[in-house]
Amino acid sequence: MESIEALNQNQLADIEPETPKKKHRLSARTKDYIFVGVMLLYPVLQFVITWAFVNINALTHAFQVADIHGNYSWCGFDQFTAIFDNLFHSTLNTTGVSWLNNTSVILLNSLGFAVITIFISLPLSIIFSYFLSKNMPAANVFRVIFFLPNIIPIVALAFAFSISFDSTYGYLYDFMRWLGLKDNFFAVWPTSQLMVYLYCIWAGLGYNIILLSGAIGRIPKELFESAKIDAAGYWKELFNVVIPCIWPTIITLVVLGMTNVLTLYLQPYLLTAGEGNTYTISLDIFMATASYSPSQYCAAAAKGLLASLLWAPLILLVRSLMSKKYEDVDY
Amino acid sequence: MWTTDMEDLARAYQGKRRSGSKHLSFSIQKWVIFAIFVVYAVSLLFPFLWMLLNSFKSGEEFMAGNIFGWPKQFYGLNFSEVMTYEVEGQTVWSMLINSIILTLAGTLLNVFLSACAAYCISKFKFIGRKLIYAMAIFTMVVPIVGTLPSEVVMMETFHLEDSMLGVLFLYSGCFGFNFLLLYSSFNSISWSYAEAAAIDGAGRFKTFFTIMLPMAKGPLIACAILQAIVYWNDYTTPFLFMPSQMTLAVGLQRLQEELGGSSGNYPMVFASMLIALLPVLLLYIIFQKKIIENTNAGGLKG
Repeated sequence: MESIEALNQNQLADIEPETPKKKHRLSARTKDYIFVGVMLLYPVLQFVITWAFVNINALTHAFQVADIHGNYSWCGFDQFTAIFDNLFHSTLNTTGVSWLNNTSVILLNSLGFAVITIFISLPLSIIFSYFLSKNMPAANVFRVIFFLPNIIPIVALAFAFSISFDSTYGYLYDFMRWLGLKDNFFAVWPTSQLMVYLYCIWAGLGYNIILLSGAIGRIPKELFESAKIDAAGYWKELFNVVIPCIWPTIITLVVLGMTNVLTLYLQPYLLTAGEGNTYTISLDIFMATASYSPSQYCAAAAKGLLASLLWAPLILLVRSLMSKKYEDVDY
Repeated sequence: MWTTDMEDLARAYQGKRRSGSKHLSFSIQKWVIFAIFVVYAVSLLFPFLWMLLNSFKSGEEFMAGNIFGWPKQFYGLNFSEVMTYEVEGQTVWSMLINSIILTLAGTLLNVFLSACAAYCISKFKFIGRKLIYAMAIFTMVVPIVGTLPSEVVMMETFHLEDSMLGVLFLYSGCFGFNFLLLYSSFNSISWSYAEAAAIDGAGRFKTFFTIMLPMAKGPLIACAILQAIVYWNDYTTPFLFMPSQMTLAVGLQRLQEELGGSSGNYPMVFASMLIALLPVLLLYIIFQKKIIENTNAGGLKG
C-alpha cells in the first residue's frame, strides 16, 4: 500500500511539476489584502503623518515659547494668559473707539462674520433661491452669474471689488461719498471692516444660492400644489412650505457661517492688506505663519487652540438646537 | 346640467378675478425681485467687463483719464507686455507655467489617490475600513485652526519647504470631498463586474484600472474639474509653501501692488487678471452644469 502511495505521489510529481509552487500561491483573500495595502499605503500614510504631525505640533506649541532660531521651551499657560491680558488690558488702540483695543477688535471683526453670514447673506440667499424657483425669467442665467465669484481667483475678485471704490478709478466712489462715507474706505475702521463684510455678502451669495436651489428643487411638487390651493402668497409659501423643507440645508449654511469666525482671512488680507484694523483670528494666525518666525508660531497655535475650544462647542450646540426644530423634515 | 355648468363658470370667473388682483401683486413682487437680480448680476459682471475694456487701452490713455470710455486707440500689447513683466525675478510667463504644472499634477494626484482610497473603502471589507471613513468625515467636520504654523514646521522637517514637490505633497491629501463623492460613486457600481472580470482571469489591479475607473468616468471628471479650479485659484498653499516660485494666483497680488497705484499701469494689471481668469472661465462655460451639480453634492468649498 505504502509503495503504491509513494508511486502515486511520484507519478503526480511527474505529471504536475508545478505542484510545489502551488503551495506558495496566494489565496484570493491575501491578494485582496495586498491590493488594499498597496492602494491605501500612500493615502493613509500621508493622512496619518500630516494630521498627527500638524495637530500634535500645534498642541505642544500652544504651551511653548520660541526664540527666533526655533529653540522651543515649555511655558505652561503663559501664551493663554497673554491672550487674555492683551484682550482686556492692551492699551494699543488705533480703532478710534474707546471701548476697543487692537486685540479685542480682532474678536469683534471675526464674530461679525457669523452675524453677517447668518443674518444677512443667508436670508438674502433664501429669498433669492426661492424666487429663482418661481418661474423667474432667465433663472438659470442668474444662477450661473451668481455663482461666478466661486470660480474666480480670489485676488482678481477682491481687486475687482476694491477698484470699484477707488478714489480715482472707482465708479462707486461718488456713490459712497454720497452715502456720507469718508475717503479711503478700506483704511479706517469701522468703514474698512464694513467694506470687507460688504465684499463677503457680494461674493458669497452664489454658493448659498446653489445649495439652497438644490434643496428647493428636491421639495415634492405636491407641497407647492397644496399651498397653491390654499392661495398662499409668496411669502407665506416661503415661510410655511419652503423653509421647513430646506431646514437641513439652512442648518449646514448656519454652521458654515459660524465656522467663518475661525477660518476667514484672505478677504480682509487682500482687500485691506491688514490695514484699517481688519484682522480676524485666522488672519492673525496666517500673518504669524507668513512671517516664518518661530517666535510667533507659539502664540498663533495658542490662539487657534483657544478659539477652536471655545467656538466649536458653540457651533455644535447651535446645530443640535436647530435640528430640534422641524425634526421630521428632510428632503 | 346647464345651470350647474354656468354656476361653475361664474364661480371660476369670480375666482379668477379675485386671484387676478392677487396675481398682479404677485407679479409686482416678482418683478421687483427680478430687478434686484439684474442689479446684482450686473454688479458681478461689470467690474470684469470694465477691466476687459480697459485692458485694450494704453497705460497713458487710462491714466490720462479715459476710464469709462471706449479705447481711443485699440492697444493689444498689454497682454504680451505683462507676460514678460518681472516681479521678484519671475515673469508672468513663469507664473503661468507654475500654475499649469501645479494644477495639472495636483489635480491628477488628488483625484487618482482619492479614487484609489474610495474604491478600497467602498468595495473591500478589512479591519480599519470604518475607522478610515470616520476619520475622513471627522477631519472635514471639525474645524481646527491655528495649525498653519505647524504645517510650515512639518514641511521644514521633511525638507519640503519652498518647493513645488512640497505643495504637491499637501495636495495629495485625499480624504476630502472627492473621496466621499467617489466613495458613493463606487458604491453604486455593482461588484458583479469585478466578479465577471475575475472569472476572465483579471487581477484586482487590472479590474480597478480597466473596468472600475472607466465606469466611474463621469464622477472622476467632475471631481477633476472642480479640483482644478480650486488649485488654479489656490492662494494660501503656494504662497506659504513655495514663495520663490509664484503661481499666477499669488503673483497677481504682487503685480497689482507693483503696477497699481497712481504711478503704475492699470491696464496691464487688468490684462494679467484676465489671463488668470480665462482658463477657469472656459472650464466654467463648458462644464457649468456639472460644476453646479457637484457643488450641490458638496464638491466646492466656498
